[in-house]
Amino acid sequence: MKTSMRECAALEPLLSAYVDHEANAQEMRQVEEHLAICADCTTRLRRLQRLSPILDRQLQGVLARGEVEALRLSRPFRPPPDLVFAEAPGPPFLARLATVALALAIAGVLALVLLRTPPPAQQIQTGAPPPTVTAPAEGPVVRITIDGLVDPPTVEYVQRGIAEANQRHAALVVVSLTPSAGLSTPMAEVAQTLSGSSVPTAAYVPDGRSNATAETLAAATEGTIEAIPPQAQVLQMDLQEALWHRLLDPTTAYVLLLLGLYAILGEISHPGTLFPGVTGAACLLAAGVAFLTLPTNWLGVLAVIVGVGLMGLELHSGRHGLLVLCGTLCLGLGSVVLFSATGSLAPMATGVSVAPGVLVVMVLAGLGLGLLIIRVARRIQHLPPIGRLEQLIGARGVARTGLAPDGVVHVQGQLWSAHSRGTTLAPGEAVRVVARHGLVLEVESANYRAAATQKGVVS
Amino acid sequence: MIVGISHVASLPTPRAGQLSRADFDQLVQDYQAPLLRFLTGLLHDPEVAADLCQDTFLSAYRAAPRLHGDELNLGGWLYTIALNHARGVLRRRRILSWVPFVASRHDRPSATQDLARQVAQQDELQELLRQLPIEQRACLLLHADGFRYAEIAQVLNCSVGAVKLRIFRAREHCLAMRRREGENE
Repeated sequence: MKTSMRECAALEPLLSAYVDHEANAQEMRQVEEHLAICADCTTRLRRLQRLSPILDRQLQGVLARGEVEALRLSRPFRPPPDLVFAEAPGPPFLARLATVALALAIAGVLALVLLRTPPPAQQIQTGAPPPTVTAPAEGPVVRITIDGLVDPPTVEYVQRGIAEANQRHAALVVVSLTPSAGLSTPMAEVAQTLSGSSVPTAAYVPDGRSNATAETLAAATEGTIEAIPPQAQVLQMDLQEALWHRLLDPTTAYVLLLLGLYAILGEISHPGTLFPGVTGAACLLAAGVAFLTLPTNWLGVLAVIVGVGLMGLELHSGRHGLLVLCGTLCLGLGSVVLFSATGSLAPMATGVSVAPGVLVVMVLAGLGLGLLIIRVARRIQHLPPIGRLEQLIGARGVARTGLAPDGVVHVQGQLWSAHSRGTTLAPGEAVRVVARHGLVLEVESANYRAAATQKGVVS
Repeated sequence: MIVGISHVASLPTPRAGQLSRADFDQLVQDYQAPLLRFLTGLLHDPEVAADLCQDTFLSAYRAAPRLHGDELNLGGWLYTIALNHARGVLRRRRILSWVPFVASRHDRPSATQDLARQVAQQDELQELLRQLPIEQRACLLLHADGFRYAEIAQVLNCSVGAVKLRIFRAREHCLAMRRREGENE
């Protein structure tokens, strides 16, 4: 029985599927009904049934050989180091919740610390108020000023001041007192120096600047003085003392620590810039010296370092800001407890603490930097790899066509039009890229002997 | 919902959804050989195949963070990327008016077997694959590698009907070729 060509054409594609047992029930029925009446298609089916297993086996041979050969040629997959693998975001709701919770925690801790009522100034009742000293009518008067933290350089300065007054045969040493706080050993030494002075000493405390430290030191003098005598000669700290004194300020040390860390972070992310690295190292060194002298909670320093480090990690492996958040938390906590005894928020030495305003500004600046890092990290992830064109020169490749002298070479996974320098090259010959002119590479044979022969070095 | 390519025993179904770096490494390990097989079959050039395999993983690596979990078919997706890369190479070859599908120098038959017959067979197979459009080539190779029609359709992003037609056409072509050669001899 002869069937229409149209029916055959419609059923053709199914024959192959039928052979592979890939036809569905309806198609199978269609094919079988058609085969019963069409001799042509039955023959075709027979042929296909004979061919398919043989063809598949031969193709499998091709595939297997190809796999072995290609495996031998391929190297393990290594993503370019500058390409960041970003983990897919977790459940956004939970992430947002965690973010808010952490932010609230940071805010809470900061608020707790910053808003806590300062401890009432310790009133040292020395019994009777110190006697008032009257200024001598004549004779030289030396004035020294104790300002800020009472620290080792202050001791040196006071000792130098008393010695100087002795040398000048001064009638009186006026000690102008505006200290913020004092370290215990330097405080004792200053008091000892003042009370042991052969020249009479008098304390001058400006109105409203009195505090426990000032009173303690005033008690070591012979009495207070209402006004500084007009003939008083001011003796200032020398440069070394002044620098040393400035460095030992807790706020300065804290700022230096953070600036140093940020600079080091910059150097790590842009190696070879050198300037931030050197500056950062100097800052850290200075901060370290200060922290060694001050009553420092090293856990706090560690927390600050870890905090900044976590922010740096965000740059390396963008984790959707979680690292920045934790980093800020660490930074904030570390900053707060920097000068506190472990387990307490109150400073170890009364008055030795970072200025709250500076602390807030630095932590916020850290958060801002972190947010910037998140943005940068996001952008980096979508950047195409760079620097391939520059790396082409000197790269080795393979001639894909003959180069006589123009042809195509395969370099660094790309096909390039190429121009052979020197003689013609055969397909498959190893080449080295010498230069790039627009989209055409200039290449020479990578075979040393061949290259040398071209140049006439080897006969 | 599609989940992975299940039929080939050596190809596990990767965990759908969030793709971690470790998952990706596992993916590379699992799919490197199958992809190399596929690409070498498509292009008949192990060297280019090895390069394209790298490119495939690189593309996947770049795109990984933008993937969404549940409807993901990582295996099929990798094959799709590989095929697109192969298309690119073939297109470039055509533009450069290259002879595609050069006989591979690596493809020497072993001496213990009937050399002449095998060389002839390989030449014929190469010629066949060379003449087929890349879609038919891919269908034939994937089928030989154990893919079901539905899975081929996933990988090539076409209908199952198209797969049936392509495999049929490819085999018909092969039959016709052999018939012609039979007449010539």
